Amino acid sequence: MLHRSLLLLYLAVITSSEILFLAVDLPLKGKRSPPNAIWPHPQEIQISNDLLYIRPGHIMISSDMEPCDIIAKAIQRYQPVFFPPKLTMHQPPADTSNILRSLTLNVLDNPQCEQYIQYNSNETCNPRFQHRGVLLDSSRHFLPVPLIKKNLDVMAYNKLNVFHWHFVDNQSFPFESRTFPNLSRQGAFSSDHVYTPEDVTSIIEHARLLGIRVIPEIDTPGHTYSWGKSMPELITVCWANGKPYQAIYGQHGEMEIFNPIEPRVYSTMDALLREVKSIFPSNYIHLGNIESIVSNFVRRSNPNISRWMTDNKINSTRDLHSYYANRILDIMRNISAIPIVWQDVWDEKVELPPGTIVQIWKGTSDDDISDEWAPYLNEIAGQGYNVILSSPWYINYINYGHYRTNTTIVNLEFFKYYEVEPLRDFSGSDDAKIRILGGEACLWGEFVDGTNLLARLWPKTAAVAERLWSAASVNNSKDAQFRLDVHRCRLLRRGIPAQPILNGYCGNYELSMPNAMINDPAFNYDISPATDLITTTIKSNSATSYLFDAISSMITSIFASLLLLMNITLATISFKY
Amino acid sequence: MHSSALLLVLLTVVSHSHGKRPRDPLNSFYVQATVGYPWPQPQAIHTTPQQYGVHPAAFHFLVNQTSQTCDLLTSALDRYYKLIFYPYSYLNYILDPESVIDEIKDKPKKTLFDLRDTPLLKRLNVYIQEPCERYPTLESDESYTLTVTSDSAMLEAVSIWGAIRGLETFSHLIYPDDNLGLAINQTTIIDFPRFQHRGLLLDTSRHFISIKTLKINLEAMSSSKMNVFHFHIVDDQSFPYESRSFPDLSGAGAYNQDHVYSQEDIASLIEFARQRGIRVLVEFDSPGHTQSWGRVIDVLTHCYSGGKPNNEFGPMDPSRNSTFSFLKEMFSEVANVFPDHYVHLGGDEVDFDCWRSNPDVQAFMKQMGFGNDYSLLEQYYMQNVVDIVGSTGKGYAVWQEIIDNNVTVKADTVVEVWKDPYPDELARVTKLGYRTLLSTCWYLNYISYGKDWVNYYKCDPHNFPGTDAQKKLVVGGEACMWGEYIDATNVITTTWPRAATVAERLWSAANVTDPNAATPRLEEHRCRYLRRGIPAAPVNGPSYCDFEFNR
Repeated sequence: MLHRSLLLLYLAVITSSEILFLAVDLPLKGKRSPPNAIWPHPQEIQISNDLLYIRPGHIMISSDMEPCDIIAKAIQRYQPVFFPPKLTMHQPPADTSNILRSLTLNVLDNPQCEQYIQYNSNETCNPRFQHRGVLLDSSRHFLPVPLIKKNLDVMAYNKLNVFHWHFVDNQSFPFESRTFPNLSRQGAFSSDHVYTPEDVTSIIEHARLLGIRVIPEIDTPGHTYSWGKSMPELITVCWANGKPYQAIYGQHGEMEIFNPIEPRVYSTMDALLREVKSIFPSNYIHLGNIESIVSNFVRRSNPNISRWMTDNKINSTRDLHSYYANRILDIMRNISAIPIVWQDVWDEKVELPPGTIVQIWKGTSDDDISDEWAPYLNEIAGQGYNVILSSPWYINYINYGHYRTNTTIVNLEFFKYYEVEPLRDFSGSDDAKIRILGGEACLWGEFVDGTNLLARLWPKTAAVAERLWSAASVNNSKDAQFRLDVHRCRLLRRGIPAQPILNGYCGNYELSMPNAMINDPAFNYDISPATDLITTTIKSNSATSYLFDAISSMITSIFASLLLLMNITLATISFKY
Repeated sequence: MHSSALLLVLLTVVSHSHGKRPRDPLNSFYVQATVGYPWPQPQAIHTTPQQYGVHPAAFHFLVNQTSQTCDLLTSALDRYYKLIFYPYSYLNYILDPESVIDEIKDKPKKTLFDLRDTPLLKRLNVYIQEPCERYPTLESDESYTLTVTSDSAMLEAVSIWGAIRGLETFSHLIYPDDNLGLAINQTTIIDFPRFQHRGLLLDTSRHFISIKTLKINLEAMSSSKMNVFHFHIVDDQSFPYESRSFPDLSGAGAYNQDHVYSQEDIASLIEFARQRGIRVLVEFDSPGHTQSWGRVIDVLTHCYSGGKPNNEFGPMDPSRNSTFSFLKEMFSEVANVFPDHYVHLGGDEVDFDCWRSNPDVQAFMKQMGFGNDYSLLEQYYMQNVVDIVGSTGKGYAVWQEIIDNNVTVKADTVVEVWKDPYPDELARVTKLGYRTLLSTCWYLNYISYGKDWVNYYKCDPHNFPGTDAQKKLVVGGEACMWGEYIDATNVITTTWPRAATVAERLWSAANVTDPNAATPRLEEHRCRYLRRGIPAAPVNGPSYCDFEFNR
C-alpha cells in the first residue's frame, strides 16, 4: 500500500484526439482518459494537477536494496520505457524549478532480494488476487522464443505474474527433455520447432526478472499423441470393430491416450516430472486433466484394458481415472511439487492433495456475461481446494464489434472480459474466499502463432489483468475503455503490436510508421538466448527534448512490480528535489 | 494462344504432393500442406513427379526475341528472381530497392556441385503477344500458359498482366526441397481468371495505415492474383488524403500530420500497384460518411434542434451550390491523381435526420418539389456527383444504394452489392443491366473463431437467379476489411490468408469449391506468405511452417 500520495504528472505530450464516436450514429459516452492514466488501476491513487518535468534521460532511480539483480535489471529495463528511443523529447522550460530528478525505491519489511517471486497468500491490499496468469499453447503452433519473452514483458506491463506454459499436446512436443530427448526429436513439428534447455532456462530467467512465475503444464493421460511418436509403448491402441489402431472421428485418434495399465507410463512420468521440477523453480506443475473423457472409449475399445480392469477389480471408468490420477499425484508428492489440475479431475471426484489448485474452465456460453461458472467457485473452494478461474477468459475465442449498453457502446471483447466479477455470486465463507487465488487468460493455439500472438492477446488481456489486480469497485467499462485505449498507445510505444479497441490513432510510433518501436532492439530479443539482455543505452541528445508522458504509470509499474517481487506490504516512493 | 481450348480439355486437374520430407500420414491432428502447388487453383494444371532442381547460378529469365517488352516486364523479372532465390530479403528489397540481400539467410541450400547429377531448370522463356498497357484496366487480359517440361520452361501471355500472373504461378511451383535445395516439378498450366475484378478494400479512415503497410498488402494481393485495391481513403473519422487543391482537408481532417498520405505517397503506391497489375480504385464516399471533410470546408448540412443549429453536422448539403462547386474541383483533382478509369463514389448509408432538421434543406425540398421524400434529395445529390465525375471522363463505381435510389448512372457504372440477401440483390442490380460487384459475404473484418474462411469460399457471385446475360454482368467481387478495429498492428494478419480464399473464388473455375481440398493448398500458401516475410495468420487449426514468424 502506498503511504504517501503520488504526485502525478499530467502532461499531454503524447496525445490522442478525442474519440467521439465509433460510427456517427454510435457516439461514445464515458470519461476520456489523460495520457498518463494507469492500467491496471491502483488500489489507491491521488492525482494533483501540478506538473513535474523530467530532463530526457536524466532521472536517477535508486533503491535501498542493493545489490539486487532484479532491481538493477528492472531499472535498466525501464530506461527505454521512460525515454522511448525514437521519440522526440522536449527539454523542460528553462524557468521551471519543478524538475523530477530521482526516484528512490524503498523496500520495507523484508529487505532481502529474493531469487524468485513466490506465491504468497499473506499479501494484503495490493493486488486483489495473487494468481494473475496467461496461458500460452505452444503445441498447436510453435511460439518462437523471442515472442514468448516479449509477451512476458507485456504481462509485466500489466502486472500479470503467472505464465502458464501449455507446452505439449497432441499436435507437437516442442519441449526438449534431457532425460527423454527423443520426445521432441520425434514429437516436435521439426528440429526448428523445439525449445532447447537453454531456451527454457532463458525464458524462466526472463520471467524471474519480471516477477513472473512460469508454471509448466504436462497434460496427461490424454492429449499425448505427440509422445507416442517416440514412445509408442506409452499409448493405448484404440480399437474399433475388433481392430486395433482405429480412430473414431470426433471422439479419439488411433493413439492419443496413455495406457494406464502400462508400468512404463509411470516410470516415464516420474522421471519427466522430476526433470521438470528441477528446471522450473516454481513449485507448481500443471498436470492438465490427469483424466480424459476419451479414456471412456479407450477402456471400452481396448480388450487388454478391459481385461486388466476386471483382474484388478476396477469397475468403472471413474475408478480407472482415479487410479491413474492417484499414481501421478503420488509422484508429485514424492518430488514435493504442488499440482494444478483442470477442473475435470474434480468433476470426476478424484480426491486431490491439500493445496491443489483447481482451474475452472467450464461454464461459459456465447452470452456476453453469464456467470455459469460461479457455482464451481463456490463448490470447489468450499471443499477446501484452491481455485483459479479461466472460463470467461478464453481469449482465443474472438468476436467482432461492440456491445451496446443502455447509454453507450463498449468494445465487445473488452466488455466481455472486463465485466467479469469472479466473486459476484460467491456465497462461501471468508476462508473459502481466500482460496480463490485468481484467474488466467487462456490463448489456445489452434489459430495463433508468431504472426498474431501479441495482437490477439493485447490489449484485451489487460482487461483480465485489471480485473485481477484492481479493486472490485473499478468496474466501469464505459470509462475504462478510454483508459485502456491510452494503455494500448503505451504498449505501442514499447514495441508491442496491441490492436485497436476504438477508432483513432496514437502517434507516429504506430507500427510501420517512422518512429515505430516494434523492431527496436530495446524491446526485442534474439532467437539465441545468449544475447537477449537489454543493453540499450539511452541517447540523451540535448538537441532533442522531451516532455515525458505517463511517468506516473511507469513509476507505479516499476514500483508495483518491485512491491510484488520484494514480497512486502509497505513501501514508499519519495521524490527528491 | 490462350484460346487453345483443345489443350484445355485434354489437361486434367491433378493434385500432387511430392518431394520434401514425408509428413506423418497418420497424424490428423494438424494440417498437412501441399508442396509446390499454386494458389489460386489454375484453370487447368497437369503435374508429374519429375523434378528439376532450380539454382540461382544456373537459372535465368529470357525474354523471347519476338516478345513485346516494357519496363513492367523488366522489373517483374527482377522482382520474381529475388522472390524465388532471396525470399528472406525480398520484402525489404521491394520496400527499399537500396537494401542489400541477406547473403547468409538467403544462401542457396545446395551448391551446383551438389546438384551435378540432377536435371536443372535452366531458363524460363517469356513471350508477350501484345504491347504493354501502361495501367491495368477492368478489361485487361490476364491469361497465360506455363509449361515446365524440359530444362527450358515457357511462359506465354497475351498481355504484360498475364505474364505477371504467370510469373506468380511460376514462383509458387518452386518449393524448398531437402535434396535439391529448390525444386520444381514438370508442370503444364493453362490459366485465366473467372472474374475480371478481384478486389480488396482497406479502410484508412477509422485507423490510418501507412504506405509501407499498404504496399505489403499490395504484395500479398499480388501473391494471390488479386487485381483491384479499393482504397477507402476517407470517411467520417479522418481525412488522410492530402489534396492539392484543398490541403486544409487533411490539415484539419487527418488525425494528425503524421497520419496523412502526401501526393508522393499516393504516386508511389499507384506505381507499386501498377507493377503488380493492380488497379487502385479510390473511394471518396459522399454524401454520408463525410464528417471529417467538414472540419474546414463548409459543405456539410448544419443540423438543427429546437429551431437552432446545434453544432452537429449531417451529410453533404445538397441545397447549396457551393457544395457542388467544391466537389467539382475536388473530383477533377481526383481524376488527375488516380489513373484508373473508375472512381468509387460511395453513396452508402445516408442518414436523413439532419437534412430533415435543416430549414434551408426543407426550403430546397419544396422548391424542387421533392415533398417529404428525402431519397429524392439523395438522388438529386448523387445525380449531380455522377455528372460531375462523368464530365471528367471517368467511370464510376458506387455502392448499391445509388441504384436502389434510382439515380441515373452511366452505362459502364460498376455497382457494388454489400447488402443481404446477396442473391436477390445481385439479381435485381444485374436485371437493371449494370455491371456488378459482390462484397456482401466477404466482410473480413467480421472476425469469428475458427475456420471462418470456409464461408467466404462457399460464397459464389453467380449464386443468384438470373439469365446468362445477367451472370455475365457480374464482373467480380471484393473482400472488405473495414477499419473500426484494424490498424497496422493486425491488418495483415487479419486479412491474410483469409482474403486469399476470396481470391481463389474469383480466379479459379466455378467447380473449385471443396474447402477440404483447398485446405492443404491454403496451408502451403500461408507458409509461402511467411517465407516471403508476410505475417499471414494460421486459419486451418494446428500446423507449422518451415519458416515461422518470430519478429
